[in-house]
Amino acid sequence: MRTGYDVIVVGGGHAGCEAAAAAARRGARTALVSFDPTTIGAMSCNPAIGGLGKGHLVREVDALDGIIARAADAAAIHHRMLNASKGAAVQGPRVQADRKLFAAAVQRILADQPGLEIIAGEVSDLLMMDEANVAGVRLSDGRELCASAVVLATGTFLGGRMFRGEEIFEGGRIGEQGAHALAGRLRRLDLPIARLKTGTPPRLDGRSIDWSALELQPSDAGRWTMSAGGGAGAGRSVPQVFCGITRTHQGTHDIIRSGLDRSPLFSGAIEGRGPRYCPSIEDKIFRFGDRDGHQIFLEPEGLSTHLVYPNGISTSLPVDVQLAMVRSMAGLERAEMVVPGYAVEYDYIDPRALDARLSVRAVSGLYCAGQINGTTGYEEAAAQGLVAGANAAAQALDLAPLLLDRASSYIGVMIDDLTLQGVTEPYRMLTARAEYRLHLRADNASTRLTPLGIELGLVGAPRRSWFEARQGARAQVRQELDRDYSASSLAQREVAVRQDGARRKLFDWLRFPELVARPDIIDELAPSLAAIDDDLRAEILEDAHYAPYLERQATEIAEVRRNEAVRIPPTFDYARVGGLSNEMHEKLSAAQPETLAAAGRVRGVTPAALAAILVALRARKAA
Amino acid sequence: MIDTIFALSSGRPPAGIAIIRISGPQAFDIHTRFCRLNALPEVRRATLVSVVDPVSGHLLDRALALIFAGPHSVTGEDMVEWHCHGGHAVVQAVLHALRNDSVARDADAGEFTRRAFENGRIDLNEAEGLADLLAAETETQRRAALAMADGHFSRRVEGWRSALLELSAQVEAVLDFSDEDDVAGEGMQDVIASGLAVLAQEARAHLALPSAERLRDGIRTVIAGPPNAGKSTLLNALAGREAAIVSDIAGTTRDRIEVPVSMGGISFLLTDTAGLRDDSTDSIEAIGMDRARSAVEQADIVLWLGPSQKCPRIDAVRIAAQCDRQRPEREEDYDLLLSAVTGEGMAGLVDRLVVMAQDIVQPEAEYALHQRQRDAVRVLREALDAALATADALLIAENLRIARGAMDRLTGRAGVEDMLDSLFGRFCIGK
Repeated sequence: MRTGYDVIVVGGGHAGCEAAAAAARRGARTALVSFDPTTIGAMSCNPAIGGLGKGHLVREVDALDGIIARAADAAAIHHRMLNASKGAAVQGPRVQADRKLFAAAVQRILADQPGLEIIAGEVSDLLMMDEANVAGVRLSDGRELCASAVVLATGTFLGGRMFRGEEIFEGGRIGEQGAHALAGRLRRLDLPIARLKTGTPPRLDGRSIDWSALELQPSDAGRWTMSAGGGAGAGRSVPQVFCGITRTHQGTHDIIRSGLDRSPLFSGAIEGRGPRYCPSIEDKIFRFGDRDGHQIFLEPEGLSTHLVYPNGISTSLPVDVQLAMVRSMAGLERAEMVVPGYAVEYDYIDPRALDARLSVRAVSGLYCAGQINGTTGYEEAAAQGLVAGANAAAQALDLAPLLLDRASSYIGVMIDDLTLQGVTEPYRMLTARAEYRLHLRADNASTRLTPLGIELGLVGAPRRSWFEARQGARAQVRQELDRDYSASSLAQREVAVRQDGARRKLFDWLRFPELVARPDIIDELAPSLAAIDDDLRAEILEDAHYAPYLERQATEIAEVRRNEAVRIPPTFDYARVGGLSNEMHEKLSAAQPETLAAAGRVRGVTPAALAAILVALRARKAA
Repeated sequence: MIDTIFALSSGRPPAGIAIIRISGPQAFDIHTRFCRLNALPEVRRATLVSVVDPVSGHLLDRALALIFAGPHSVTGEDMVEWHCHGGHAVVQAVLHALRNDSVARDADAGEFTRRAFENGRIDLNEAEGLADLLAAETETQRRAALAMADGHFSRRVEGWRSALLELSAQVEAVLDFSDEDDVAGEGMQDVIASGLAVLAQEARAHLALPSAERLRDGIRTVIAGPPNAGKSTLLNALAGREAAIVSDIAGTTRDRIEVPVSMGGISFLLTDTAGLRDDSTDSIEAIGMDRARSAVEQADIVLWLGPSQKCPRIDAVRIAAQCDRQRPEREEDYDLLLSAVTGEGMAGLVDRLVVMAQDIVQPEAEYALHQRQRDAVRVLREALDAALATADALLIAENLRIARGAMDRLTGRAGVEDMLDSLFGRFCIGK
């Protein structure tokens, strides 16, 4: 039996769900295939969404009308704005999400999405038109689903294998099977495939924790949410809970050291590399042995469960060592482990085999998103899913692609990093990765991306009208901020700015601390600023605060975009450029940068090599 | 298909020898046709040839020929050199015949070097140093260019780059991980600030270095004084020729006269100025005097040929000129007694000028910076100062990023196209 779709998405994790929803929003007849549709929207590891860098990704996906922020809001039982004391550009909104509420919200949003069908089954093979064109998927029960484009969002399930002490299990998540037939198929396609590993901590029974012995961390006051608005019900709708904080100490570390010889990380059983930025506790002890302790956050997994997630002790030590380690810490002396931690190793495709649409260059119609591309994290996965889904729909329906560059978004930064540099460990977003960080803030994601989303048909009617109303309000505020005021007129209002005789726009005065300290005067001079939403007000004030730097970045961005004009044709042969080292030749051939500027971002490529490439390009053009 | 190019590669005729280079896939074909050879001679061996215009059959010159087979040539391509007689007519006739032949074309400026670079024969640093080296006219310029070509400044820039990276990493750790406990947040600001201050100091020191343009254009040396003080006579004596008109009529020199001179391995740009007097009614002379005053202000060295109490700059060399005609009343008020006519004091003046110039070009400074390089170092300094002036870690990080961008421009990691164009634009044709 054969059934036809425009786009098929394999996998129902964060990447797969965004991909399917984005493709359907663009009008593609879309099928999402999952082993078990009841697990769609599951959070495999920590019960949190957002964080530094990651919160930016969530807001950007939201600005393109994705799912993750709305689902997080529907499930958020604890809010925290990380880096709240620093500038908005590095603030990271983070929520803890009730697992059940989150998955339910995701499933509800997908069920409400027209043009999207959910299919239970194991994808065992790709249907190919020929070697270079995908035509659909085959399920293990023999069904064949045809489509112009297929998105692989297999997470840790592709060739997934779990480790705990000396024990080894096949599968992508504890108690669930792995996608081994598909892994074999991809290896036969001759794609560059390697292994990575990640891990998860044991889950504790909250009733066995002595909370009275712990420092407690309440949810932030305030009204902010992960979704900027225009989506599902705005505001916070779920009761808030506390987290607890405990610490490891020398005794804990001694227990861990005593078990290292039984850890698969150190015995050589695991070949894949783990994330440096989210290491297992045994890695931390091994690499930073001089530290006397590490902070551990105890995060409730939901309102209707007693499970607690101890953030910071991801581990694959044997069960007995895990339990001893847990019980060595304050407040956890009598803690019960419900599910022990484990490490999982899985196949990923070298993302340098992908283009900026997240499409496999060698196989037309095949897209990849999430951990299969070597990333870690729900947010990174969701963002790639949205891009891959939107572009799969574009290919199927002949629409404009969704192309995001480093100057537009963290999503663009991530895709550029992945496709040019590849990965040596699971890739996690950090604000330091974004050179235009002052411009790419979590608070202005809608301003940056929603217009593009509207243009590409990714944004639904509710968000569209919300956004248009917001732009209207912004224009009115802008008018008031464009009025000139002299230093003396501010002095009359008892704002102690220096009397330099200058007349400035109110917008320009807003970066002077003397005026910032007087919100009453700001409201008096710009009454519409007081009337708009908090988040838009904060965004405008932040723009004003960093205005000179933002202008400078805007100039720089324009220049960089001009430099992207020197294109390197896909047939360009690096072997024929004199003066390139073998290493550079290898890296450039693997990444196949589309422009000279992109070639310049490939690590290890020297200025002299760039110049040589440019000259060779010009010679080629002249010839 | 790659063009074959040709150009006169030696200096401007007339000269003893003129070397004409032909490079590209058709170079050997051109050689055998123009020299009426049946077979290609041995490579890298000088042979005597008759260069004949293949169209007219006229003998153009008898020349020494060298051929190099690519990739073992300067350009990496097949290449022919004809060492012709260096007269105008010969060179023009040979170039004209090559042009007429239409197989090869005239080389663009810098094209031979560009091809060498394209074929991996030289790298960018060598190319940049080469450009300076070819243009060097004095010993100081040569040493500076050689130091640049040897990568002394590049190594310094690399050092700055890695220091900036290190500081950036520290700031980023504060920004991205301070909420994750395993990064020390407190105290980092001080560590970062002292790192910034050290770099800012180095950047300032580099901005104080002489500019390469100064080395090339010469130390601006201005001769000033009242009318008829012997300024033009002194200029001519230093220049060794009659560059300025000399007469006994006060106000003969109405405008600045500039003459480049090399002394002691250093370039000077000598400027003769209109005499300064208070009672001029001539409007043209007044303009000349204004220009003289601004020349004095901008000069590196001022030679003052007037009464020492009227000396316009405290650091001027006060010269009692025309001492063959009259000695000053108080000799101790003057640095030098001079007669351009008898030559008295001239050797002392030249020595003094060279010593002063060496101070300005700082012989211990191993290299000089071009405008492009100075601009980048200035951006570096401004960014570091801005980073030092703020406590906002976000702005410190942003300024460090701007500073790194300036270093990237300097090494050609960014803005490659602009840099290549400006670099290869500096070569003359045939190099």
